[in-house]
Amino acid sequence: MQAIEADDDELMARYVSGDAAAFDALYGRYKDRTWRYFLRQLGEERARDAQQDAWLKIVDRRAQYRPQGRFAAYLFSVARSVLVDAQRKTMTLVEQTLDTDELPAAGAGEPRRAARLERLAAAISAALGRLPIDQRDAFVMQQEAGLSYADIATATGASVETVKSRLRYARGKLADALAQEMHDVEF
Amino acid sequence: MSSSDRLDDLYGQLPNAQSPADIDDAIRAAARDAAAREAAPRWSRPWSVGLATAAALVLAVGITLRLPDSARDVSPGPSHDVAAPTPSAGREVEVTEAAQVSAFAAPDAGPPNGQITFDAATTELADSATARSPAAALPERSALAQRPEAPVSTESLTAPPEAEAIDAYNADTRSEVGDAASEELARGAAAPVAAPAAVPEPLVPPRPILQSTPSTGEPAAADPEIAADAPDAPESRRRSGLFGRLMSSRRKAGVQTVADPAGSELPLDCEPGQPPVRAICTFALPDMGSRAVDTRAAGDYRVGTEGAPDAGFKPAPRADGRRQGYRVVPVDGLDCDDPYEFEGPATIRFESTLGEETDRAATDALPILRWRQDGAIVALSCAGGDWLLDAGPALP
Repeated sequence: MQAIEADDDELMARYVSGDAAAFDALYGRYKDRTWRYFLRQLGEERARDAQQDAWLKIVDRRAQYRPQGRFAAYLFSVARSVLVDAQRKTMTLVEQTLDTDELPAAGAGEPRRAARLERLAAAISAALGRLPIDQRDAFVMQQEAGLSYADIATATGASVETVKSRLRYARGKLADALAQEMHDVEF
Repeated sequence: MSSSDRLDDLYGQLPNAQSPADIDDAIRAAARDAAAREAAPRWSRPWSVGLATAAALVLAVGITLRLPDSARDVSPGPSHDVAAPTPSAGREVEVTEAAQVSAFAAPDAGPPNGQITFDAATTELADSATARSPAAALPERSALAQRPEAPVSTESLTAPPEAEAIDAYNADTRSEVGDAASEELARGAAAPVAAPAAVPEPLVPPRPILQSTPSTGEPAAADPEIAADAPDAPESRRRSGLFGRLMSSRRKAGVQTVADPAGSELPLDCEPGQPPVRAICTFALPDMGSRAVDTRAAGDYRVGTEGAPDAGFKPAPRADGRRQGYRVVPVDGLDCDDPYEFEGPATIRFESTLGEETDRAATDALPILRWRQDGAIVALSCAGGDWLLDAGPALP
Protein backbone atom coordinates (compact mmCIF):
# COMPACT_ATOMS: atom_id res chain seq x y z
CA MET A 1 0.00 0.00 0.00
CA GLN A 2 2.84 2.31 0.85
CA ALA A 3 4.42 1.66 -2.50
CA ILE A 4 1.21 2.48 -4.29
CA GLU A 5 0.82 5.83 -2.59
CA ALA A 6 4.44 6.90 -2.89
CA ASP A 7 5.39 9.23 -5.70
CA ASP A 8 7.72 8.16 -8.47
CA ASP A 9 10.81 9.76 -7.01
CA GLU A 10 10.23 8.13 -3.66
CA LEU A 11 9.78 4.75 -5.28
CA MET A 12 12.92 5.21 -7.30
CA ALA A 13 14.86 6.23 -4.21
CA ARG A 14 13.63 3.17 -2.38
CA TYR A 15 14.56 0.97 -5.28
CA VAL A 16 18.03 2.44 -5.41
CA SER A 17 18.39 1.54 -1.76
CA GLY A 18 17.48 -2.06 -2.53
CA ASP A 19 13.68 -2.20 -2.22
CA ALA A 20 12.59 -4.35 -5.14
CA ALA A 21 8.93 -3.91 -4.26
CA ALA A 22 9.28 -0.22 -4.99
CA PHE A 23 10.39 -1.05 -8.50
CA ASP A 24 7.42 -3.35 -8.94
CA ALA A 25 5.10 -0.50 -8.05
CA LEU A 26 6.89 1.90 -10.36
CA TYR A 27 6.93 -0.60 -13.17
CA GLY A 28 3.25 -1.27 -12.69
CA ARG A 29 2.51 2.40 -13.17
CA TYR A 30 4.34 2.83 -16.42
CA LYS A 31 4.78 -0.55 -18.07
CA ASP A 32 1.70 -0.34 -20.25
CA ARG A 33 2.47 3.21 -21.30
CA THR A 34 5.98 2.35 -22.44
CA TRP A 35 4.67 -0.80 -24.06
CA ARG A 36 2.13 1.07 -26.15
CA TYR A 37 4.74 3.71 -26.95
CA PHE A 38 6.95 1.01 -28.47
CA LEU A 39 4.11 -1.03 -29.91
CA ARG A 40 2.64 1.86 -31.89
CA GLN A 41 5.99 2.65 -33.46
CA LEU A 42 7.85 -0.62 -33.72
CA GLY A 43 5.35 -3.39 -33.94
CA GLU A 44 4.97 -6.13 -31.40
CA GLU A 45 8.10 -8.17 -32.02
CA ARG A 46 10.54 -5.31 -31.76
CA ALA A 47 8.50 -3.68 -29.03
CA ARG A 48 9.25 -6.67 -26.83
CA ASP A 49 12.98 -6.09 -27.14
CA ALA A 50 12.59 -2.36 -26.76
CA GLN A 51 10.49 -2.70 -23.64
CA GLN A 52 13.17 -4.84 -22.05
CA ASP A 53 15.99 -2.60 -23.17
CA ALA A 54 14.37 0.54 -21.83
CA TRP A 55 13.50 -0.84 -18.44
CA LEU A 56 16.87 -2.53 -18.05
CA LYS A 57 18.50 0.80 -18.64
CA ILE A 58 16.36 2.23 -15.88
CA VAL A 59 17.50 -0.63 -13.65
CA ASP A 60 21.15 -0.41 -14.58
CA ARG A 61 21.35 3.35 -14.24
CA ARG A 62 19.14 3.69 -11.20
CA ALA A 63 21.91 5.29 -9.17
CA GLN A 64 22.25 8.06 -11.74
CA TYR A 65 18.64 9.15 -11.54
CA ARG A 66 18.26 12.61 -10.11
CA PRO A 67 14.90 13.00 -8.39
CA GLN A 68 13.23 16.08 -9.76
CA GLY A 69 9.64 14.95 -9.70
CA ARG A 70 9.74 14.11 -13.39
CA PHE A 71 10.35 10.41 -13.57
CA ALA A 72 8.00 10.03 -16.53
CA ALA A 73 10.10 12.46 -18.55
CA TYR A 74 13.24 10.58 -17.59
CA LEU A 75 11.69 7.23 -18.42
CA PHE A 76 10.54 8.34 -21.84
CA SER A 77 13.83 9.99 -22.67
CA VAL A 78 15.38 6.57 -22.13
CA ALA A 79 12.55 4.93 -24.06
CA ARG A 80 13.05 7.33 -26.92
CA SER A 81 16.75 6.55 -27.14
CA VAL A 82 15.90 2.86 -27.25
CA LEU A 83 13.28 3.51 -29.90
CA VAL A 84 15.69 5.41 -32.12
CA ASP A 85 18.32 2.73 -31.67
CA ALA A 86 15.82 0.08 -32.66
CA GLN A 87 14.86 2.02 -35.75
CA ARG A 88 18.48 2.58 -36.61
CA LYS A 89 19.23 -1.10 -36.46
CA THR A 90 16.91 -1.85 -39.30
CA MET A 91 17.56 1.47 -41.01
CA THR A 92 13.94 1.68 -41.93
CA LEU A 93 10.99 3.30 -40.38
CA VAL A 94 8.59 0.49 -39.94
CA GLU A 95 5.03 1.48 -40.18
CA GLN A 96 3.30 1.34 -36.90
CA THR A 97 1.27 -1.76 -36.70
CA LEU A 98 -1.71 -2.36 -34.61
CA ASP A 99 -2.55 -5.96 -34.18
CA THR A 100 -6.18 -6.33 -34.92
CA ASP A 101 -6.24 -9.30 -32.59
CA GLU A 102 -6.15 -6.75 -29.79
CA LEU A 103 -9.48 -5.42 -30.80
CA PRO A 104 -12.29 -6.38 -28.51
CA ALA A 105 -14.31 -9.29 -29.74
CA ALA A 106 -17.43 -8.20 -31.46
CA GLY A 107 -20.72 -9.21 -30.00
CA ALA A 108 -23.29 -10.90 -32.12
CA GLY A 109 -25.19 -7.70 -32.57
CA GLU A 110 -22.36 -5.37 -33.39
CA PRO A 111 -20.50 -6.62 -36.43
CA ARG A 112 -20.54 -3.15 -37.88
CA ARG A 113 -18.79 -1.72 -34.84
CA ALA A 114 -16.10 -4.39 -34.94
CA ALA A 115 -15.50 -3.79 -38.60
CA ARG A 116 -15.34 -0.08 -38.00
CA LEU A 117 -12.83 -0.49 -35.19
CA GLU A 118 -10.67 -2.70 -37.33
CA ARG A 119 -10.77 -0.19 -40.10
CA LEU A 120 -10.02 2.61 -37.68
CA ALA A 121 -7.02 0.74 -36.28
CA ALA A 122 -5.63 0.15 -39.73
CA ALA A 123 -6.17 3.77 -40.70
CA ILE A 124 -4.47 5.10 -37.59
CA SER A 125 -1.64 2.65 -38.06
CA ALA A 126 -1.03 3.79 -41.59
CA ALA A 127 -1.37 7.47 -40.74
CA LEU A 128 1.03 7.23 -37.82
CA GLY A 129 3.54 5.43 -39.96
CA ARG A 130 3.56 8.29 -42.44
CA LEU A 131 4.27 10.95 -39.81
CA PRO A 132 7.82 12.26 -39.37
CA ILE A 133 9.40 10.52 -36.43
CA ASP A 134 9.49 13.58 -34.21
CA GLN A 135 5.85 14.33 -34.73
CA ARG A 136 4.84 10.72 -34.26
CA ASP A 137 7.01 10.47 -31.18
CA ALA A 138 5.44 13.51 -29.59
CA PHE A 139 1.94 12.39 -30.51
CA VAL A 140 2.36 8.88 -29.12
CA MET A 141 3.97 10.21 -25.97
CA GLN A 142 0.99 12.44 -25.43
CA GLN A 143 -1.69 9.95 -26.37
CA GLU A 144 -0.28 6.74 -24.97
CA ALA A 145 1.85 7.96 -22.09
CA GLY A 146 -0.16 11.01 -21.14
CA LEU A 147 2.95 13.13 -20.89
CA SER A 148 2.65 16.88 -20.54
CA TYR A 149 4.22 19.29 -23.02
CA ALA A 150 7.05 19.91 -20.58
CA ASP A 151 7.71 16.22 -20.06
CA ILE A 152 7.65 15.53 -23.79
CA ALA A 153 10.06 18.40 -24.26
CA THR A 154 12.40 16.95 -21.66
CA ALA A 155 12.13 13.46 -23.05
CA THR A 156 12.82 14.54 -26.60
CA GLY A 157 15.35 17.26 -25.88
CA ALA A 158 13.25 19.88 -27.58
CA SER A 159 11.71 23.08 -26.35
CA VAL A 160 8.11 23.20 -25.24
CA GLU A 161 7.23 25.41 -28.18
CA THR A 162 8.76 22.91 -30.56
CA VAL A 163 6.76 20.13 -28.96
CA LYS A 164 3.56 22.11 -29.33
CA SER A 165 4.40 22.74 -32.94
CA ARG A 166 5.11 19.07 -33.59
CA LEU A 167 1.88 18.04 -31.96
CA ARG A 168 -0.07 20.57 -33.95
CA TYR A 169 1.35 19.28 -37.21
CA ALA A 170 0.94 15.68 -36.16
CA ARG A 171 -2.69 16.10 -35.22
CA GLY A 172 -3.46 17.97 -38.40
CA LYS A 173 -1.85 15.35 -40.58
CA LEU A 174 -3.49 12.51 -38.71
CA ALA A 175 -6.89 14.14 -38.96
CA ASP A 176 -6.43 14.65 -42.70
CA ALA A 177 -5.23 11.10 -43.19
CA LEU A 178 -8.07 9.62 -41.21
CA ALA A 179 -10.59 11.75 -43.03
CA GLN A 180 -9.38 10.35 -46.31
CA GLU A 181 -9.21 6.80 -45.06
CA MET A 182 -12.56 6.85 -43.35
CA HIS A 183 -15.04 8.78 -45.44
CA ASP A 184 -17.83 8.18 -42.99
CA VAL A 185 -15.95 9.90 -40.16
CA GLU A 186 -16.43 13.62 -39.82
CA PHE A 187 -13.44 15.84 -39.17
CA MET B 1 -16.78 18.70 -32.41
CA SER B 2 -13.44 19.92 -33.72
CA SER B 3 -11.19 17.70 -35.78
CA SER B 4 -8.74 17.59 -32.88
CA ASP B 5 -11.42 16.41 -30.46
CA ARG B 6 -12.64 13.93 -33.03
CA LEU B 7 -9.12 12.58 -33.41
CA ASP B 8 -8.83 12.13 -29.66
CA ASP B 9 -12.18 10.41 -29.65
CA LEU B 10 -11.20 8.03 -32.43
CA TYR B 11 -7.80 7.33 -30.94
CA GLY B 12 -9.42 6.69 -27.60
CA GLN B 13 -11.49 3.93 -29.16
CA LEU B 14 -8.37 1.91 -29.81
CA PRO B 15 -7.84 -0.86 -27.27
CA ASN B 16 -5.31 -0.26 -24.54
CA ALA B 17 -2.65 -2.85 -25.19
CA GLN B 18 -0.93 -4.19 -22.13
CA SER B 19 2.66 -5.19 -21.69
CA PRO B 20 3.11 -8.96 -22.17
CA ALA B 21 3.22 -10.88 -18.93
CA ASP B 22 6.43 -12.75 -19.77
CA ILE B 23 8.23 -9.50 -20.44
CA ASP B 24 6.90 -8.10 -17.17
CA ASP B 25 8.14 -11.12 -15.27
CA ALA B 26 11.57 -10.96 -16.87
CA ILE B 27 12.01 -7.25 -16.18
CA ARG B 28 10.82 -7.57 -12.61
CA ALA B 29 13.16 -10.51 -12.02
CA ALA B 30 16.08 -8.56 -13.42
CA ALA B 31 15.20 -5.62 -11.20
CA ARG B 32 14.99 -7.84 -8.15
CA ASP B 33 18.36 -9.38 -8.94
CA ALA B 34 19.91 -5.97 -9.30
CA ALA B 35 18.38 -4.82 -6.02
CA ALA B 36 19.56 -7.97 -4.27
CA ARG B 37 23.09 -7.43 -5.46
CA GLU B 38 22.92 -3.86 -4.24
CA ALA B 39 21.65 -4.88 -0.84
CA ALA B 40 24.01 -7.82 -0.43
CA PRO B 41 26.74 -7.27 2.16
CA ARG B 42 30.18 -6.79 0.82
CA TRP B 43 31.30 -9.91 2.66
CA SER B 44 28.78 -12.33 1.26
CA ARG B 45 30.76 -15.28 2.69
CA PRO B 46 30.86 -14.82 6.45
CA TRP B 47 33.57 -17.40 6.95
CA SER B 48 35.96 -15.35 4.86
CA VAL B 49 36.11 -12.72 7.60
CA GLY B 50 37.20 -15.29 10.14
CA LEU B 51 39.69 -16.79 7.76
CA ALA B 52 41.25 -13.43 7.01
CA THR B 53 41.47 -12.62 10.72
CA ALA B 54 43.09 -15.95 11.49
CA ALA B 55 45.60 -15.51 8.70
CA ALA B 56 46.49 -12.08 9.98
CA LEU B 57 46.99 -13.40 13.49
CA VAL B 58 49.22 -16.22 12.30
CA LEU B 59 51.35 -13.79 10.34
CA ALA B 60 51.58 -11.43 13.28
CA VAL B 61 52.61 -14.18 15.70
CA GLY B 62 55.10 -15.59 13.25
CA ILE B 63 56.78 -12.27 12.76
CA THR B 64 56.84 -11.57 16.47
CA LEU B 65 58.46 -14.92 17.21
CA ARG B 66 61.00 -14.50 14.45
CA LEU B 67 62.26 -11.10 15.52
CA PRO B 68 64.57 -12.36 18.37
CA ASP B 69 66.06 -14.97 16.05
CA SER B 70 66.92 -12.32 13.57
CA ALA B 71 68.55 -10.25 16.26
CA ARG B 72 70.73 -13.16 17.24
CA ASP B 73 71.67 -13.80 13.62
CA VAL B 74 72.95 -10.29 13.03
CA SER B 75 74.75 -9.85 16.37
CA PRO B 76 78.54 -10.49 16.47
CA GLY B 77 79.30 -14.05 17.52
CA PRO B 78 81.42 -14.45 20.66
CA SER B 79 83.04 -17.70 19.58
CA HIS B 80 85.71 -17.93 16.91
CA ASP B 81 84.08 -20.96 15.38
CA VAL B 82 80.95 -19.08 14.64
CA ALA B 83 81.40 -16.97 11.61
CA ALA B 84 80.10 -13.48 11.79
CA PRO B 85 77.38 -12.82 9.32
CA THR B 86 78.42 -10.95 6.30
CA PRO B 87 76.92 -7.54 5.66
CA SER B 88 75.19 -8.88 2.64
CA ALA B 89 73.56 -11.63 4.69
CA GLY B 90 72.37 -9.06 7.22
CA ARG B 91 70.83 -6.96 4.50
CA GLU B 92 69.10 -10.01 3.16
CA VAL B 93 67.51 -10.71 6.53
CA GLU B 94 66.45 -7.12 6.92
CA VAL B 95 65.00 -6.97 3.49
CA THR B 96 63.11 -10.21 3.96
CA GLU B 97 61.64 -9.06 7.24
CA ALA B 98 60.80 -5.71 5.87
CA ALA B 99 59.03 -7.35 3.01
CA GLN B 100 57.07 -9.56 5.35
CA VAL B 101 56.05 -6.71 7.61
CA SER B 102 55.19 -4.63 4.63
CA ALA B 103 53.13 -7.40 3.13
CA PHE B 104 51.26 -7.84 6.36
CA ALA B 105 50.83 -4.34 7.66
CA ALA B 106 51.08 -1.89 4.83
CA PRO B 107 47.80 -1.00 3.24
CA ASP B 108 47.56 -0.84 -0.48
CA ALA B 109 48.77 2.65 -1.01
CA GLY B 110 48.02 2.58 -4.73
CA PRO B 111 50.03 4.31 -7.34
CA PRO B 112 52.01 7.40 -6.48
CA ASN B 113 50.61 10.88 -6.73
CA GLY B 114 47.11 9.70 -6.02
CA GLN B 115 46.63 8.39 -9.52
CA ILE B 116 44.19 5.58 -9.86
CA THR B 117 45.05 2.78 -12.18
CA PHE B 118 42.96 -0.09 -13.41
CA ASP B 119 44.85 -3.33 -13.13
CA ALA B 120 44.02 -6.81 -14.30
CA ALA B 121 42.01 -7.58 -11.18
CA THR B 122 39.89 -4.51 -11.70
CA THR B 123 39.29 -5.54 -15.26
CA GLU B 124 38.24 -8.97 -14.09
CA LEU B 125 35.80 -7.46 -11.65
CA ALA B 126 34.37 -5.28 -14.36
CA ASP B 127 34.07 -8.27 -16.64
CA SER B 128 32.31 -10.30 -14.02
CA ALA B 129 29.94 -7.41 -13.34
CA THR B 130 29.17 -7.31 -17.00
CA ALA B 131 28.53 -11.00 -17.05
CA ARG B 132 26.06 -10.64 -14.19
CA SER B 133 24.07 -7.99 -15.98
CA PRO B 134 20.31 -8.46 -15.67
CA ALA B 135 20.13 -8.49 -19.44
CA ALA B 136 21.56 -11.97 -19.39
CA ALA B 137 18.49 -13.26 -17.57
CA LEU B 138 15.97 -12.02 -20.09
CA PRO B 139 14.33 -14.29 -22.60
CA GLU B 140 13.52 -13.91 -26.27
CA ARG B 141 15.96 -11.18 -27.02
CA SER B 142 17.43 -10.77 -30.42
CA ALA B 143 21.15 -11.24 -30.72
CA LEU B 144 21.55 -7.60 -31.54
CA ALA B 145 19.72 -6.55 -28.43
CA GLN B 146 21.66 -8.85 -26.13
CA ARG B 147 24.35 -6.36 -25.36
CA PRO B 148 25.26 -6.80 -21.71
CA GLU B 149 25.69 -3.61 -19.83
CA ALA B 150 27.46 -3.51 -16.51
CA PRO B 151 25.59 -1.54 -13.87
CA VAL B 152 28.06 1.21 -13.20
CA SER B 153 27.43 4.01 -10.79
CA THR B 154 29.30 7.07 -11.89
CA GLU B 155 28.63 8.57 -8.50
CA SER B 156 30.94 6.14 -6.79
CA LEU B 157 33.48 5.31 -9.45
CA THR B 158 36.31 7.39 -10.64
CA ALA B 159 36.44 7.59 -14.37
CA PRO B 160 38.94 5.23 -15.96
CA PRO B 161 41.77 6.61 -18.02
CA GLU B 162 40.59 8.28 -21.16
CA ALA B 163 42.04 5.66 -23.47
CA GLU B 164 40.17 2.89 -21.67
CA ALA B 165 36.95 4.84 -21.69
CA ILE B 166 37.29 5.44 -25.38
CA ASP B 167 38.08 1.81 -26.04
CA ALA B 168 35.04 0.74 -24.08
CA TYR B 169 32.89 3.23 -25.88
CA ASN B 170 34.28 2.14 -29.21
CA ALA B 171 33.26 -1.41 -28.51
CA ASP B 172 29.83 -0.24 -27.45
CA THR B 173 29.40 2.00 -30.43
CA ARG B 174 30.52 -0.69 -32.81
CA SER B 175 27.69 -2.91 -31.67
CA GLU B 176 25.11 -0.21 -32.15
CA VAL B 177 25.96 1.27 -35.46
CA GLY B 178 23.51 0.29 -38.12
CA ASP B 179 24.20 -1.65 -41.25
CA ALA B 180 24.13 1.31 -43.55
CA ALA B 181 26.79 3.01 -41.52
CA SER B 182 29.06 -0.01 -41.65
CA GLU B 183 30.38 0.79 -45.05
CA GLU B 184 31.21 4.31 -44.05
CA LEU B 185 32.75 3.08 -40.85
CA ALA B 186 34.82 0.55 -42.74
CA ARG B 187 36.10 3.30 -44.97
CA GLY B 188 36.95 5.30 -41.90
CA ALA B 189 38.75 2.39 -40.31
CA ALA B 190 40.75 1.85 -43.44
CA ALA B 191 41.64 5.48 -43.82
CA PRO B 192 44.66 6.75 -41.96
CA VAL B 193 43.79 8.59 -38.80
CA ALA B 194 45.04 12.10 -39.08
CA ALA B 195 45.19 13.09 -35.47
CA PRO B 196 44.97 11.43 -32.06
CA ALA B 197 41.66 11.57 -30.24
CA ALA B 198 40.75 14.55 -28.08
CA VAL B 199 43.45 16.80 -29.49
CA PRO B 200 41.63 19.16 -31.81
CA GLU B 201 43.65 21.57 -33.84
CA PRO B 202 43.73 25.16 -32.67
CA LEU B 203 40.76 26.99 -34.08
CA VAL B 204 42.67 30.14 -34.89
CA PRO B 205 46.37 29.51 -34.45
CA PRO B 206 47.48 33.10 -33.74
CA ARG B 207 45.09 33.32 -30.80
CA PRO B 208 46.31 31.10 -28.04
CA ILE B 209 43.04 31.43 -26.18
CA LEU B 210 41.29 29.42 -28.83
CA GLN B 211 43.58 26.46 -28.55
CA SER B 212 42.08 23.48 -26.88
CA THR B 213 44.03 21.90 -24.12
CA PRO B 214 45.73 18.75 -25.30
CA SER B 215 45.43 15.66 -23.23
CA THR B 216 48.84 15.40 -21.67
CA GLY B 217 48.14 12.74 -19.09
CA GLU B 218 49.58 15.01 -16.43
CA PRO B 219 47.69 15.79 -13.24
CA ALA B 220 46.01 19.14 -12.79
CA ALA B 221 48.77 20.74 -10.83
CA ALA B 222 51.08 20.31 -13.78
CA ASP B 223 48.95 22.73 -15.78
CA PRO B 224 49.38 26.19 -14.31
CA GLU B 225 46.75 27.67 -16.63
CA ILE B 226 44.09 25.31 -15.37
CA ALA B 227 45.21 25.59 -11.80
CA ALA B 228 44.92 29.33 -12.02
CA ASP B 229 41.57 29.20 -13.75
CA ALA B 230 39.76 26.92 -11.38
CA PRO B 231 39.34 29.23 -8.37
CA ASP B 232 38.03 32.02 -10.59
CA ALA B 233 35.41 29.87 -12.28
CA PRO B 234 31.87 31.24 -12.10
CA GLU B 235 29.53 29.70 -9.58
CA SER B 236 27.41 28.12 -12.28
CA ARG B 237 30.48 26.29 -13.52
CA ARG B 238 31.49 25.12 -10.10
CA ARG B 239 28.05 23.83 -9.28
CA SER B 240 28.11 21.40 -12.17
CA GLY B 241 29.32 18.05 -10.94
CA LEU B 242 31.19 17.00 -14.02
CA PHE B 243 32.54 20.45 -14.60
CA GLY B 244 33.79 20.58 -11.06
CA ARG B 245 35.69 17.39 -11.66
CA LEU B 246 37.00 18.67 -14.96
CA MET B 247 38.20 21.86 -13.41
CA SER B 248 39.78 20.06 -10.49
CA SER B 249 41.63 17.66 -12.76
CA ARG B 250 42.22 18.89 -16.22
CA ARG B 251 40.25 20.05 -19.16
CA LYS B 252 39.88 16.94 -21.18
CA ALA B 253 36.21 17.22 -21.96
CA GLY B 254 33.49 19.72 -22.50
CA VAL B 255 33.81 23.20 -23.84
CA GLN B 256 37.46 24.07 -23.83
CA THR B 257 37.40 27.73 -24.62
CA VAL B 258 34.87 30.31 -25.62
CA ALA B 259 36.06 33.59 -27.01
CA ASP B 260 34.70 36.47 -28.97
CA PRO B 261 36.11 37.20 -32.42
CA ALA B 262 38.63 39.57 -30.88
CA GLY B 263 40.05 36.77 -28.80
CA SER B 264 38.72 37.80 -25.41
CA GLU B 265 37.61 34.89 -23.32
CA LEU B 266 33.93 34.62 -22.54
CA PRO B 267 32.16 32.72 -19.77
CA LEU B 268 31.41 29.16 -20.63
CA ASP B 269 27.82 29.49 -19.52
CA CYS B 270 24.99 30.06 -21.87
CA GLU B 271 21.79 31.36 -20.39
CA PRO B 272 18.65 31.44 -22.48
CA GLY B 273 17.69 34.99 -23.24
CA GLN B 274 21.08 36.55 -22.85
CA PRO B 275 21.99 39.14 -25.50
CA PRO B 276 23.29 37.70 -28.74
CA VAL B 277 27.02 37.23 -28.76
CA ARG B 278 29.02 35.87 -31.60
CA ALA B 279 31.70 33.69 -30.19
CA ILE B 280 34.13 30.97 -31.06
CA CYS B 281 34.36 27.81 -29.10
CA THR B 282 36.43 24.69 -29.05
CA PHE B 283 34.77 21.62 -27.73
CA ALA B 284 35.92 18.15 -26.89
CA LEU B 285 34.58 15.05 -25.29
CA PRO B 286 36.65 11.99 -24.51
CA ASP B 287 34.39 9.80 -26.56
CA MET B 288 34.26 12.19 -29.47
CA GLY B 289 37.94 12.70 -29.87
CA SER B 290 38.71 14.08 -33.26
CA ARG B 291 36.45 11.81 -35.20
CA ALA B 292 32.75 11.39 -35.50
CA VAL B 293 30.24 8.92 -36.72
CA ASP B 294 27.39 9.99 -38.87
CA THR B 295 24.98 7.13 -39.11
CA ARG B 296 22.41 9.19 -40.95
CA ALA B 297 19.63 7.00 -39.74
CA ALA B 298 16.16 7.90 -38.64
CA GLY B 299 16.93 11.58 -38.81
CA ASP B 300 19.48 11.59 -36.04
CA TYR B 301 23.23 11.53 -35.75
CA ARG B 302 25.45 9.69 -33.35
CA VAL B 303 28.85 10.92 -32.42
CA GLY B 304 31.58 8.57 -31.42
CA THR B 305 35.18 7.71 -31.95
CA GLU B 306 34.45 5.35 -34.78
CA GLY B 307 34.32 6.34 -38.36
CA ALA B 308 36.12 8.34 -40.90
CA PRO B 309 37.85 11.48 -39.77
CA ASP B 310 36.09 14.60 -40.84
CA ALA B 311 32.85 12.71 -41.19
CA GLY B 312 30.61 14.53 -38.82
CA PHE B 313 28.45 17.56 -38.78
CA LYS B 314 28.87 18.65 -42.35
CA PRO B 315 25.42 19.41 -43.60
CA ALA B 316 24.71 18.41 -47.14
CA PRO B 317 24.27 21.32 -49.52
CA ARG B 318 20.69 22.03 -50.26
CA ALA B 319 19.32 23.20 -53.55
CA ASP B 320 16.49 25.13 -51.96
CA GLY B 321 18.86 27.28 -49.94
CA ARG B 322 17.32 26.33 -46.63
CA ARG B 323 19.64 26.04 -43.73
CA GLN B 324 20.09 22.66 -42.25
CA GLY B 325 20.95 22.16 -38.65
CA TYR B 326 21.05 19.50 -36.06
CA ARG B 327 19.57 19.81 -32.66
CA VAL B 328 21.76 18.40 -29.96
CA VAL B 329 19.75 15.85 -28.11
CA PRO B 330 21.49 14.45 -25.07
CA VAL B 331 20.22 11.01 -24.34
CA ASP B 332 19.88 8.76 -21.34
CA GLY B 333 18.22 11.36 -19.20
CA LEU B 334 20.89 13.98 -19.42
CA ASP B 335 19.45 17.38 -18.83
CA CYS B 336 19.72 19.81 -21.68
CA ASP B 337 19.57 22.73 -19.31
CA ASP B 338 23.18 22.17 -18.39
CA PRO B 339 24.87 21.53 -21.67
CA TYR B 340 28.18 20.68 -20.08
CA GLU B 341 26.96 17.88 -17.88
CA PHE B 342 27.97 14.92 -19.93
CA GLU B 343 29.11 11.87 -18.06
CA GLY B 344 32.13 9.94 -19.17
CA PRO B 345 31.84 8.40 -22.58
CA ALA B 346 28.55 10.05 -23.31
CA THR B 347 26.50 9.86 -26.42
CA ILE B 348 25.04 12.91 -28.04
CA ARG B 349 22.42 12.67 -30.68
CA PHE B 350 21.94 15.23 -33.36
CA GLU B 351 18.44 15.57 -34.52
CA SER B 352 17.84 17.12 -37.88
CA THR B 353 16.08 20.41 -37.53
CA LEU B 354 15.01 20.54 -41.10
CA GLY B 355 11.29 20.89 -41.14
CA GLU B 356 8.60 23.29 -40.43
CA GLU B 357 8.62 22.78 -36.69
CA THR B 358 11.96 24.44 -36.12
CA ASP B 359 11.50 27.98 -34.95
CA ARG B 360 14.33 29.62 -36.83
CA ALA B 361 13.50 33.14 -35.77
CA ALA B 362 13.80 32.25 -32.13
CA THR B 363 17.00 30.29 -32.42
CA ASP B 364 18.76 32.72 -34.71
CA ALA B 365 18.36 35.54 -32.23
CA LEU B 366 20.17 33.63 -29.52
CA PRO B 367 23.89 33.42 -28.91
CA ILE B 368 25.86 31.42 -31.37
CA LEU B 369 28.96 29.57 -30.40
CA ARG B 370 31.16 28.16 -33.06
CA TRP B 371 32.34 24.64 -32.70
CA ARG B 372 35.22 23.22 -34.60
CA GLN B 373 35.01 19.52 -35.08
CA ASP B 374 37.18 17.66 -37.54
CA GLY B 375 37.66 20.69 -39.66
CA ALA B 376 33.97 21.37 -40.01
CA ILE B 377 33.01 24.72 -38.60
CA VAL B 378 29.63 24.65 -37.06
CA ALA B 379 27.81 26.78 -34.61
CA LEU B 380 26.10 26.10 -31.35
CA SER B 381 23.06 28.14 -30.60
CA CYS B 382 21.45 28.30 -27.23
CA ALA B 383 17.73 27.86 -27.65
CA GLY B 384 15.62 27.52 -24.58
CA GLY B 385 18.30 25.66 -22.73
CA ASP B 386 19.10 23.45 -25.70
CA TRP B 387 22.15 23.72 -27.80
CA LEU B 388 21.36 23.93 -31.45
CA LEU B 389 24.15 22.86 -33.73
CA ASP B 390 23.98 24.78 -36.91
CA ALA B 391 26.00 25.25 -40.02
CA GLY B 392 27.37 28.73 -40.20
CA PRO B 393 29.56 30.74 -42.49
CA ALA B 394 33.23 29.94 -42.48
CA LEU B 395 35.36 31.78 -40.01
CA PRO B 396 37.73 34.37 -41.43
